[in-house]
Amino acid sequence: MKFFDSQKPPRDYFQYVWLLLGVLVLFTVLSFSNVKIRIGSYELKDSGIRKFFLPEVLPLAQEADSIVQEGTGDKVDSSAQKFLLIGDSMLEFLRIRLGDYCRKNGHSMNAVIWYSSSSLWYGQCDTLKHFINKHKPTYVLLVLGANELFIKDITTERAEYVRNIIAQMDTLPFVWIGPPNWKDDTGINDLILRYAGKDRYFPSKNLSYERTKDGAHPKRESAYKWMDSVAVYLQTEARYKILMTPPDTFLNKVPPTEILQPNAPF
Amino acid sequence: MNWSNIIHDLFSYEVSSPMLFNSGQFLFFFILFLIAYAFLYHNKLSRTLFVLGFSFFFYYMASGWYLLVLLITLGADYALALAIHKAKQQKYRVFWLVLSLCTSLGLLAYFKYTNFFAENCAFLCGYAFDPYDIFLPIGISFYTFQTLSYIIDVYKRELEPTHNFLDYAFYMCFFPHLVAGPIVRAKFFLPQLKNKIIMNPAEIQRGFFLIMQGLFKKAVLADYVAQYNDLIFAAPGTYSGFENLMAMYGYTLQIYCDFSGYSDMAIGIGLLMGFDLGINFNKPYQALSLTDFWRRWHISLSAWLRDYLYISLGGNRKGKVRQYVNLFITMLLGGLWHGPSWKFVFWGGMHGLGLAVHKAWKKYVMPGEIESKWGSKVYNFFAWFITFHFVVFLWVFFRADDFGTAWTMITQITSGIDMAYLEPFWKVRYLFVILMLVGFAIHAIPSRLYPQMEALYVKKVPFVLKAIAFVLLIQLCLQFRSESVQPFIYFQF
Repeated sequence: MKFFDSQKPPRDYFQYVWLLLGVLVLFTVLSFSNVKIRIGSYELKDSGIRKFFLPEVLPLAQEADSIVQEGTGDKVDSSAQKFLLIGDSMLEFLRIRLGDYCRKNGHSMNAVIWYSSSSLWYGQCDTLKHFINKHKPTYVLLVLGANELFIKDITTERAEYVRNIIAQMDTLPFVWIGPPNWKDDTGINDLILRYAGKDRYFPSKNLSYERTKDGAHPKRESAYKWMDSVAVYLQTEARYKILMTPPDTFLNKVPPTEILQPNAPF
Repeated sequence: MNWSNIIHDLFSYEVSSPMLFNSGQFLFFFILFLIAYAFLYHNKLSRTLFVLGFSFFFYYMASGWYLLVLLITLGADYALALAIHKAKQQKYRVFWLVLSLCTSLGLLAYFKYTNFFAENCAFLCGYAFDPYDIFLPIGISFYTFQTLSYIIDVYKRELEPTHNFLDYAFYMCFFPHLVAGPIVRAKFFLPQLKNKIIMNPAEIQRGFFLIMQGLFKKAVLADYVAQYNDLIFAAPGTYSGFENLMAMYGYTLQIYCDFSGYSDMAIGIGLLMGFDLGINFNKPYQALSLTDFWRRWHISLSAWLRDYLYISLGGNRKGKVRQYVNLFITMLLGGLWHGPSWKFVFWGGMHGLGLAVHKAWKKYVMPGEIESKWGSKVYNFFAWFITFHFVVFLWVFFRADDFGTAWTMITQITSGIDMAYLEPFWKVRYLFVILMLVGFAIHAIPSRLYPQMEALYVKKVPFVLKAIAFVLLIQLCLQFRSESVQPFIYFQF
């Protein structure tokens, strides 16, 4: 019995085998050559074959990397802080509870809500820098990431923006309050953790929330508890620890807030 | 270049990215497979061993060591089918049949429904439930139904079991249909293994046409439209009625393109290798009734449910009322087959109810055909409109995470659709709109024109153009793979 047979499939079969092989070779060569092909303003995407053979190790942003942000070690800075709470719509109720903490601990605050914003928006413009210059905070609390939970290839798509955002805060103490996931994300939390470090990133996704009817935003009471957890983190685990004694009352008073329209900065 | 890492990545199963037809990894292995297949296909033993080996490897890359579950089912049902065939007394035939059903359905029940039943028991008993960590092996629902059809056919003496284990394993594990169907019948497929494989140039061309079509549907249309749908279904209350409506139609297109696209690729790969897997979708959204819809949607499953469940329950042989009940039960269980959740049971049950209503309508209200040409056209339009929207409506329950989410979505849609959203929606989501139009336009091509289009591709289009089209298609897949839909666009501002 012959295991191999001399009878071959028809010519059409080999045509398609060659076609498949040719396509694989073509896209491999294109990927390795790093040639950027543009049609008008539209750039043709890479197949990622090169990345499979030569995985990229994302370098840290030189600017962000060179900035050394001092921490307090095990000590807690009990001096009055001036917060800038900035980010997307998720900070809507957080700001009210943070206001309670400010009154209790002698801190002050300003809030900026940029609806629908993401690291892509903040990372491509100097909005954050603008508000830092304007309010001169001593501590930045960034609430960002909920609008990019499901972005594909997030590591390559958003890494430079996350780094840029961190660079904008310069040597200011900050904590990036991660998004309160309502579903598993595609990597935004990991990305923030990677660049901010676990002493400047609060993993909100680990908490459970009661949501408003949109299924995404935490309800007021739930957001208050969220802020309580952030406050504990700020006093005990953050790189720059500050006094955050829990307030006795809920004043439900809206702190000074600036609202930005949900328009992309480009 | 770290070759040991590359080889490890290439040959190891990754839970988060199983190897499927639309992956580059599959393309790489498939090319190697086709080259070797050309030299082996003519000899039955070499072909069988080679394809079987590749099928096991494919399943391992898609589902890891759950390959062993497949092998257990394979071995058990091969032996039990022979035992049923050889048993002289009816009681032994029944015993072997029950043993086979318990093995196959037991494995399916354990992997797919344990958490569902445990959760419901916990709910009824009033205690908290923490789900068990049970992985669902890819394709288990498909290959279980396939082996059930084999065993039941043998039991009914409608099929003589194959004594050749390799033939049976080939039929069960043939990689094109292994993980997502079509659910191929042994009566249809086993004879193809006995015959000499004749590779017909026209069938090879048709196979490649189907692969391209499937890739376009799956990797371009379904995967892009899915991103928008995922956003809306994740938090429907955040979006307007108009956006929810678009997601409802979007999911209608997505599930069709996703599933039929994968089937097209499976059938096309089969044809390239000289095997016919039948058809699985036939323009289901052109159906003029729900009965017609189920003759066009996932045909291999519908036929399975009809032959092994509906007819076994008595079909239409025990009076009209029983027929309606049988339809309802069949679709209820068909719904549960799709997933371990009450929403699938509801989805199936509603389809069963719809089928029963349609049967009653045809029996008592509209038994004949409309004679007037225009009257018939108007009737057909309304029949299509109602059928289509009934199906679309029920997809909401199929896709939503739970009844609450489905209800929120329906509430958003029914509480008002402001057509003023049309213009901003087009401006922000023009790519979604274009792909939706392309998808539904392709689906709207009349069935009678489709064979002509295929013939045109096979006979008239020069190979160079086909090659260019394929390169463009791959680039299109790459473009859409990394296009992300921007979430949370608040139109109210």
